[in-house]
Amino acid sequence: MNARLLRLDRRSISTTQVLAKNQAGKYRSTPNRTQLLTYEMAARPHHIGVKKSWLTWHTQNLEEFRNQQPLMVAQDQIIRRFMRGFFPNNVVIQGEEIVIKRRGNVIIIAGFLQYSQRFDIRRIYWMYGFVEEFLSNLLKQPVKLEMQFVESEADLAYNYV
Amino acid sequence: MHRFNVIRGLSNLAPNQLNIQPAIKRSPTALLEALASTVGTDPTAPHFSFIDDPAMIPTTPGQKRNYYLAKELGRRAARQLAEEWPTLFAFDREFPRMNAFRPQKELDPALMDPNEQNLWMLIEKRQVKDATILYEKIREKDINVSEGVKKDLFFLLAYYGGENVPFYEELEWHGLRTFGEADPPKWKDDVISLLYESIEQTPEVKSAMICGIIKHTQSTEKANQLFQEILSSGATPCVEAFNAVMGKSQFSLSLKLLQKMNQLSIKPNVNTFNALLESNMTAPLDKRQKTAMKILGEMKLLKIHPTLLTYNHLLNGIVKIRTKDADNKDFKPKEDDLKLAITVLNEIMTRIAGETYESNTLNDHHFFLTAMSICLMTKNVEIAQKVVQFYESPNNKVKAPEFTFENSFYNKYLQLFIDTTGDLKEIERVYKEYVPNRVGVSRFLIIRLINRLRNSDNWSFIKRLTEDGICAQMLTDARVSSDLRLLLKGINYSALSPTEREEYSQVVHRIVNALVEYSEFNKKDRNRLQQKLYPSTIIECACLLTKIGEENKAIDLLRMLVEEEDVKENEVPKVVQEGQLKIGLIQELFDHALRQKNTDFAAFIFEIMSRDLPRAQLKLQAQRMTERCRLNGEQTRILEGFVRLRPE
Repeated sequence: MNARLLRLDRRSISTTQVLAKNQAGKYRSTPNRTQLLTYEMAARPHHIGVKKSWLTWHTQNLEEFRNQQPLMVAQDQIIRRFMRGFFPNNVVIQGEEIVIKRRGNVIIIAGFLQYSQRFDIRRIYWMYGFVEEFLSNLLKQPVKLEMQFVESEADLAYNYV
Repeated sequence: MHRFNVIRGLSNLAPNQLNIQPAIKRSPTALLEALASTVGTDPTAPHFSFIDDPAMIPTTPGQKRNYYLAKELGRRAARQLAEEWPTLFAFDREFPRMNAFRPQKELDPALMDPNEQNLWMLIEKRQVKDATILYEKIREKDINVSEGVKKDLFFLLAYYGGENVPFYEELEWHGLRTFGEADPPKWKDDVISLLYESIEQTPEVKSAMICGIIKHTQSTEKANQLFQEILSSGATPCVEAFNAVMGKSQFSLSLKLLQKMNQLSIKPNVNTFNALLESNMTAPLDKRQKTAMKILGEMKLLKIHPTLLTYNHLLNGIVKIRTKDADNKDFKPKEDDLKLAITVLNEIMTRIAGETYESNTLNDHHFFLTAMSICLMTKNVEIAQKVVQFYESPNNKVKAPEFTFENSFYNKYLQLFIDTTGDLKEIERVYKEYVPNRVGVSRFLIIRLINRLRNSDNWSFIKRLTEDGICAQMLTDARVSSDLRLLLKGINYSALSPTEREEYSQVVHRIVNALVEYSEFNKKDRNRLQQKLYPSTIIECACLLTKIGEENKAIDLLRMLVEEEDVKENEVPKVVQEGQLKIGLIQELFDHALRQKNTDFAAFIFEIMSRDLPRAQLKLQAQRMTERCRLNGEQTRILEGFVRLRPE
């Protein structure tokens, strides 16, 4: 019993110094500098609003506008997951850099897509039409896609670490 | 406050008086009308539907059609999912409720209750076939339907011939409206006749029947019979029935009908005169010119304002622009007719400038195409500019469908402008204004411009033309591809600025890479996409590469001609070895290699040259090579031996 109490005491009182350092959103360097960083990845989290911008744009985080914060988060997730699932061969950086903008009642999905191995422009147009209409009917507000196309992810490289 | 009052008190200026303006008198619905005018279909900007990315923007009319329809079909597929499984789309938070995002599956008429209310709903929605099915059900069960609903159903069936609403009347799916191919008109005589018999046959009903028959069957026999029936019964047919019969009758008969209208005191409208002009086209050409002028005079007398369709019929009555005979492709209108047509067109343009024209019928925009065709045939760019100016003016509300008619209209104008304008800078300005948004890139346009740009040093225009050609997949067209390469080769590279040289190199690399890539679709199951490299293609590419100082790449290309290709089991060759060689270009390459004293390069070209040149000429070239490249004894011996083995 005593030994257990003693162990509990030791674990309760930490004697090491607190690591007061932000580790999130930082990428480890590799020996051969092979880790690709896009501009979004290269800029640190504390640079949001300074060097880089937000990946979702809405007014629900503003004071006195916080009516539907959870709805925005849920909508964002639906949109991001849908884009990742619908364009699996075209998304870049695992679809983590899709920007969702809300302007009036319209949701604008922006970002980069890459040419897939089978680059069929007509197919892309079909998918565009499908995504816009599907998400519009699902979220009950107009959804527009404003994507730009790059040949491969390497075209988005800002730095290698 | 005190200081303010003091200043006001000391000021010797009279205070500004606020005058309240009297209220503008508006109708009770003015505000609603103004709001309603902001909502509607925008017919002017379908190109905003395309993805704004250089790789995705279409260049040719074919690409525009494919991409536009593909996007629309994607939307329709999603809409169908939402219709089939509405519970999966039941996210109901929006206020007010927006039914636009809740597509409803159309009701199946076989499952609907056969009653008058449902029938009326289908008539309102213009679901012609469904309404017919439901009416059949109602008749089978002997359910009573009011005369008014039956009449409305009859009017609907007569207007559409018993078929569903055609694509050109489609409101929501604009791709289908623009590109959907119209089926040949059909007339469901059994259903419509049955309904016709079951309702009171007033002159209005009979007139609708006449119009429907003529519109959908183009036959006048039954329509004339009905027409005579109305007249003999002492009733008066509607003006629409007169117009329909006139449009499809011989001109002499149409004139008699016009006299009959006069007797019955029926006031003709602009469609009557349009029908008369249409009927006039059956007369011989020399007669119809005079008659057309008389008809126009009559309109003026009756103070009936002509529409653009009237002018279109007038021009078509003067000059036969094209023949329906497919074998007679070289048809050319007579010189005198063309002179008269352009004079009349000039008069029309003077008359209509500044006036407002609204779309009266579906075919009003045909006037612009006819007018531009006449301008193109007479090479009259001044009047063509007037036509374009009027077309683009805010007064003109008659707009042609963008990707089809408007493309042809501006294409003709551009052709005319290219043919009649001497200043290349001006042509470049107009070309960049119209291509590819309004006018798609076509083979014909590219060849026409290549001919104009040959021997010119206008790099910015040549660059744009080449890039448009690449985007429009013209590199797969043997003739245009070769013409583009020769156009680039003709440019004085040394006269270009450093930036332009950089651009020139990029264009050359783009062409060569694209051609090599086309040849590399050489897997047997995929060679449908392959474009093999011909000797002339390789030589032209090598010339371009040497021009930008890429001799090594040129040698790599020439190696494909000289060395035997390693073709694997499941592949086809990339290069075609047969074909005429352009000796002049090979000679240029050889001279370049000698100037550079590049023995390897010269040897490759010498081997290619040996295919076509006789031994005597080869000997001469071998001597030049020995001298310029400073070959050693062994090299010279090999070269002489090679020449000796060639045929005489």
